[in-house]
Amino acid sequence: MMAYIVKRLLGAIPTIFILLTLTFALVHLAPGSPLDGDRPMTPEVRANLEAKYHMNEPLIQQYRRYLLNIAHLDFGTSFQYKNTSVNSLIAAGFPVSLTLGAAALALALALGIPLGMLAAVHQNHTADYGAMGLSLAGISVPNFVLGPLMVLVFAVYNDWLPAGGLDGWQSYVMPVLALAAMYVAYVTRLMRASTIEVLRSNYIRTARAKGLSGFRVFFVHVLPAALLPVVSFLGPAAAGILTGSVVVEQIFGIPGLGRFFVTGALNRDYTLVLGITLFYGIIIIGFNLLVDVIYGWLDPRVTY
Amino acid sequence: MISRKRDSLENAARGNSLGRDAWRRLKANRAAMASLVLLGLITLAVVVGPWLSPFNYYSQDYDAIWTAPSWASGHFFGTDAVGRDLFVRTLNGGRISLMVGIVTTFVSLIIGVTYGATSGYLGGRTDNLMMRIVDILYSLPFMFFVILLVVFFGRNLLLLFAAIGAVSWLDMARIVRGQTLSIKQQPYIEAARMAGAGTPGIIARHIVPNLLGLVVVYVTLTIPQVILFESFLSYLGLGVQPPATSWGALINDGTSEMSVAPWLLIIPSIFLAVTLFCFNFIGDGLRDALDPKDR
Repeated sequence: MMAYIVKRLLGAIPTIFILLTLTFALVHLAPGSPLDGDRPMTPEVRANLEAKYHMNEPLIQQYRRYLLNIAHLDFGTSFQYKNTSVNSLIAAGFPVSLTLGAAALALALALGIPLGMLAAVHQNHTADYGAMGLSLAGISVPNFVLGPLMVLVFAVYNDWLPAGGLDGWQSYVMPVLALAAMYVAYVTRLMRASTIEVLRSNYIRTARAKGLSGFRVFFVHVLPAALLPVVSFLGPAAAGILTGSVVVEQIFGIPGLGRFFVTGALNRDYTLVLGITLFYGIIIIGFNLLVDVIYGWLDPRVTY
Repeated sequence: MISRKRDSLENAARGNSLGRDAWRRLKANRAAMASLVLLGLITLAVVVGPWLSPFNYYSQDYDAIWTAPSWASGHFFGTDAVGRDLFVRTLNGGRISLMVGIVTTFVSLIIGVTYGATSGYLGGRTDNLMMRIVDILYSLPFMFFVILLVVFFGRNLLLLFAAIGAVSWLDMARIVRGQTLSIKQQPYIEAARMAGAGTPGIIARHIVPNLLGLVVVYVTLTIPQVILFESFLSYLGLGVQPPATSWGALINDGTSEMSVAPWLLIIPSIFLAVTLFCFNFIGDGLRDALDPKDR
């Protein structure tokens, strides 16, 4: 087990390295410079600024400095919020985004798993069609449609929930729903397919044949095996939810990391956008790693 | 009498091709057929509609701000904050959304099929390396990369095609590789090799045509993903730039004005959701039709 974890950790290194190199290349291939502001500056000022941001050094040296800074988890200073480090912006925004994302992921699992099981057990009957129809709707209605429509109904026409901002638990209700809808749908479909497959397997027939109760067969023999595809979906789901929160935070005016990302992108705040991309990239790679380890631990067929 | 008998014998001998069987199963799937028809209608409206309307998507009319949808005024879907006709804008936006979806899926199709078929056919160490690269790319947060790209290199449609296309081939490559692994064990591949066909020839002539069924399914499932992706970027204001528009951009405009003019949000949302719904239904139907064992 330990050897497996170490092997996976080593495997993540090239991924992180490529992430860093790609982003660095992007920044340096881009036309123009972040110093091209609205006000023209004298050559001396420009030279001083370039020296401050180390833009006058050879590329390879900049790359080394960049890697070193990231290794120290130092993402630099924001261009847009003067004198504020990207680190402090991340520290301010991430807890909010994390709460939102974790709640959405939990909701997706709490709704999707039972719905998928229900559909599988009643395959090709009313409950199945209902659950599948619901999940197709969930996949087809994106969060930036569902979010504003919910605001229209629950905040504009009826004053039931706050339309935006962050003020008590009520303000999390609509964002979490908007963010989770698509993942409820995916988890339902996955869970249905895998449950149907497991229900048809030989060892389930054996379990039934030796006279175990339906309840015991389902929860002890079917469920753990059927959950495996959902576990391996957790990695992509977490990545998707983090990305989705970019839009959802924008809709509901939630001061999370996603909102910083969008305003940074619109204002060409290079360091901020870069910092958040790297931060999220590293989190996603780490989460995938964690999911792989959990999967290996759950599935007896995986050998280390 | 004799000729009739021979007729039926010939029919029996001809049997049903795989494609015809699949088509028969698809036709029996009412939801998929309804989606196919609906999607055809939307495509037709999007292509032809803007020419039939007396309005265009960019002219502003300050005498007709926030007109509610009505037959009488000629603005079937109403107008926006500067008096532009939403009917024409929705259809024009649909042109861009569908075009992005189809062109980009085509880009990802070419990359994915070539990469996956090559990797699967060559096998061994090359396959290992090529799939390792896909694994690595898979775990990068691509949405953020596309946004970075758009921020650094400016916003234009071509870049959008290339960026989204470069991102969405990964699934296709994996699926195609898996299928290629099983196809290359077939006797006809061996026969082709014995007959002296080269590796590129075998991949292009014998492997890729036999992947088509699978590829068709994934194309119908990739198009809605790409449309969604483009709408997402346009919603954030990073995609199509005004006065040109797409469904995502229209929904973004509609969101900011929904309390005074809810139709600006609701109508483009319906178009986007119905289109995505249709593609997903058709994709699911095709998968069931081509691979009935999973039903």
